[in-house]
Amino acid sequence: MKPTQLLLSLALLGGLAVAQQASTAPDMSQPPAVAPFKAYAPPAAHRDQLPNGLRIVVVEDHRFPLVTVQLALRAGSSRMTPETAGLASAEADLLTKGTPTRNALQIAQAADALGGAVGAGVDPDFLTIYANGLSDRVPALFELLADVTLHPTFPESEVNLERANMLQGLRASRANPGFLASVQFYKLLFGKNPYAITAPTEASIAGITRDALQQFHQNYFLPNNQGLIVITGDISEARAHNLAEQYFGTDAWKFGRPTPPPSPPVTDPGTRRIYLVERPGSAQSTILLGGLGLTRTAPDYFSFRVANQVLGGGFTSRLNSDLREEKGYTYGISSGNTAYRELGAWTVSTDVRTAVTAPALKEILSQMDQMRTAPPSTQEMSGAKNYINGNFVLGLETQGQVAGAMMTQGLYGLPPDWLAGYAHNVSSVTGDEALAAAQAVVKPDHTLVVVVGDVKQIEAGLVNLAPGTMMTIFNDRGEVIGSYPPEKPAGGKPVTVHPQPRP
Amino acid sequence: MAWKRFAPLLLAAALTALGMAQTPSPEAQLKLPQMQFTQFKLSNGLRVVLSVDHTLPVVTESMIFDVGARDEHKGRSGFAHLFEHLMFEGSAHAPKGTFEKLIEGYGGNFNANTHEDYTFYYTTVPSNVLETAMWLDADRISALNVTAAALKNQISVVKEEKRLRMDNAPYGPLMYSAIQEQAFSNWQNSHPVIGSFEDLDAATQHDVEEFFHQYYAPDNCVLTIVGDFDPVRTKAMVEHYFGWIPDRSKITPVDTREPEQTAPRRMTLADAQAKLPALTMSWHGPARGTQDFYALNMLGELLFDGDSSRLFQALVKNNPVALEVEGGLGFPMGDYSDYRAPGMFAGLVVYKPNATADEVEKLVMQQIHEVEANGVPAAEMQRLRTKFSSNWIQSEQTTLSRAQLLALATMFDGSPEKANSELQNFMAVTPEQMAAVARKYLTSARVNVILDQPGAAAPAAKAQGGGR
Repeated sequence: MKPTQLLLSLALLGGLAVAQQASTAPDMSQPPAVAPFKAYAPPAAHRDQLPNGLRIVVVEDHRFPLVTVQLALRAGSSRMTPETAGLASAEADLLTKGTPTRNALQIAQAADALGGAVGAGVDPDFLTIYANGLSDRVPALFELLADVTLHPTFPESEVNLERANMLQGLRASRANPGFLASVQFYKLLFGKNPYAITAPTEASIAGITRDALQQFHQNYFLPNNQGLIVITGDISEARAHNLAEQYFGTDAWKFGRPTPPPSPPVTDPGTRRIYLVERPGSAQSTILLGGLGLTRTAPDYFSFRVANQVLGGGFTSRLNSDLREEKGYTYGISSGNTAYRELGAWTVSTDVRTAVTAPALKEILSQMDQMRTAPPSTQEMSGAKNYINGNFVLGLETQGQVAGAMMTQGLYGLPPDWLAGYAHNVSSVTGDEALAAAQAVVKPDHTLVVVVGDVKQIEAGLVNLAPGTMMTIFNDRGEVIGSYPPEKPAGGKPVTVHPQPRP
Repeated sequence: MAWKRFAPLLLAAALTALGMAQTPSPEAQLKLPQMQFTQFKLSNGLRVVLSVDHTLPVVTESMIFDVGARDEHKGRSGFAHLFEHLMFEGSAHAPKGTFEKLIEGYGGNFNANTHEDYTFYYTTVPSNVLETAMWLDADRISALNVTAAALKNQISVVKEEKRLRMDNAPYGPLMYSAIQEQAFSNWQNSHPVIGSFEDLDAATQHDVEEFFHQYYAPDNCVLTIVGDFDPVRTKAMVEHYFGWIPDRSKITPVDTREPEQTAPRRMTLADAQAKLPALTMSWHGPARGTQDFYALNMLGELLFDGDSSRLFQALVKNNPVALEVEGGLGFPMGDYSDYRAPGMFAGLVVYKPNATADEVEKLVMQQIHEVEANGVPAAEMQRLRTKFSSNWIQSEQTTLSRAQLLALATMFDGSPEKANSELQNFMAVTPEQMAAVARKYLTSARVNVILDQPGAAAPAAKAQGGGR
């Protein structure tokens, strides 16, 4: 705490220090004065790189007798093609299903004995293997993590079970309207770019074999494939470094020649497009809309972070205040920018009751329009900046959260002082900068809209919001099953579509 | 920065003191963090727990009220949860919108959740904003002021919450409503937390006032503050803002006693949204804090927790009939920590279309009988205890989770100290006790089974709500 802040908080205390428990109400007419934020000092991060290219970050945190380790490689789902979709996530699942010295059950039991967990997951850019446990078992934790990372055997029986479960899992996911919306949205938004692929298909699952998994391991499990290991918790920097070197250094893990991921450009088609996914009997319509967003290194990233906060970032955002608190259309609505390594996606998502689908979409588009016409008010700007900065610190309480922040910094090309400089970057955004960023990203006339719901009940209302266009209708497997207005029947008269003014 | 908030304790001492048959291995000697706290009570009955941690400039202030869906009366199902929404809809000096604008606008977060036995409100804020959070909470529990328009708006919002979580989601009606309705026969326990559309629509401003006066009083509340604050100054602020509020709760306890179940119950549920079949099995469980409660919870961990668990191995790996297995004591509405009584022990299995419900059910019962007959090997018991105690520590990492643990311990177990000491009761459970509770509770004679089958329900099947 800075001395000036200490004085200020003591001054505020003045009347209270002597206050006895009152029997009459205190003056409640005004909210209390609020002192400035206390400065947040990020924990010290020790950074290094091993000769094989693996980068290391260590953050000591001795509050709890726990240690968290995460290891990421540039081997996420965007390395896949439509034919191999799902292979990266199968790879992640199967790392913990067999090594030369342990079967799947023995790996799970070894993790239990650590008082923790070992596992792996993928996002569009990275495959991350993690282990956590009690700090008095740290060498065993590293040994287990190295075993599953470097020596997976992909036993045939486990691969077969994984394939069978992925098929059923895909089927189960299609019950979820959010899944249906996002699969279609990203496919349409990113087109030929690998970020378009967010789910496997029956055909791609059939291609997940032991050979394919081993090939994936050879191609991508290289310490210099943008590899990063983050160690946080109740462990000294020196010990963490030594263990990382012992288990993941050059003697254990040879560097290779990683292939850079392809990233074909994505173009903005320049029109508003609405697509429907049929979900008969749906009690709500799931709306997912948006367009291209920003990477974390984009010059206007922080300006847009603030603009988005005003529009759809929190409970008090314009969208939630309007569609939930005023109109009661939804339990919640939010917008956000998903920053991948090479591209970004900006989306608005909500679920509304079927009867208000078109009015809700119209209202969202109208809020997007307003966001482009004037800078946010002074109060909105200060509220948004405070929210972002306050919640940034609130999100760094656990070891896992701190490790996640270190991962973000290291994997997304951000400067080492990213955590320390975050609040300043947010605070210095001006209203005009927020407006310019909103104009660059929030484009109601160019937006891609996917609505999952009971098509017959919503199609006529929605078509008016994309005048002159035909809305393609998909089923839950992503196959085209029709359009609205329907294509003209053979020999019939052409369907006339009357252009209507945009709301 | 001050890192040393927690004094270590050797778990091994607790284990030997309880006369464990086996000598604890060195692995059992965990350093267990202990939450440090102070507690006091105001003259109006408000219980207050303060726990200081200066690690980050963050503080959580929470209020827990001893009221939940089990206190509702017929015709007003879902009211406790609707009321929870209304607590954010305005008070005498902070009209609608003020609460959210101040908390978010100063960088904080807030939310609330409603359970069968309690309702929990929290704000997590940068520590310079603690006094604002207290002012807002004091104003709403002394002078809530909900307009007719706000009531109408929140009825719509809660209906959308029900549609989102229950009506439009696979297994929604099963998990949020049917499982409780089948297992319990006393309406207080069996009706869903989310309520029905009819009952939500029937709610009036008069109901709101009555409920407020009955339950939202200082003597029915525990206020917990965890994080970066000055304890002396904060105690003074608590007295200043909350001390004057009159003690006025007029609670007529509801009768939540559950008649003993004497025969198994079975039903089939058509699930319009699900793509894969599922089944639930449930049994009445013990009251909180009894010896059976600790033992049945550890049995639940053995059966359901993680890839090494008995049921995952049996149903997903060795006889690969299932895609997903979940369950335990307190499932599905929460876990062992957040109910009072009566309890429920339940499991959900989502299984493959080529398997049969009969097969799944037999495999589950086989695993239960295996524990009854052969207990649990020492090595597996050791891993189970290690994992449970590590999860216990993991769950204490945020100011919010510590606030909730201290609040629940104070309200349900009579002292915040229980948030530390209860772990020993779970650690002391023996394999013999686990086998005994399996025999006593998880019987075929008193099982409740629901087969959830994909397919359109009859149009009239407007399922009752349930959720938080």
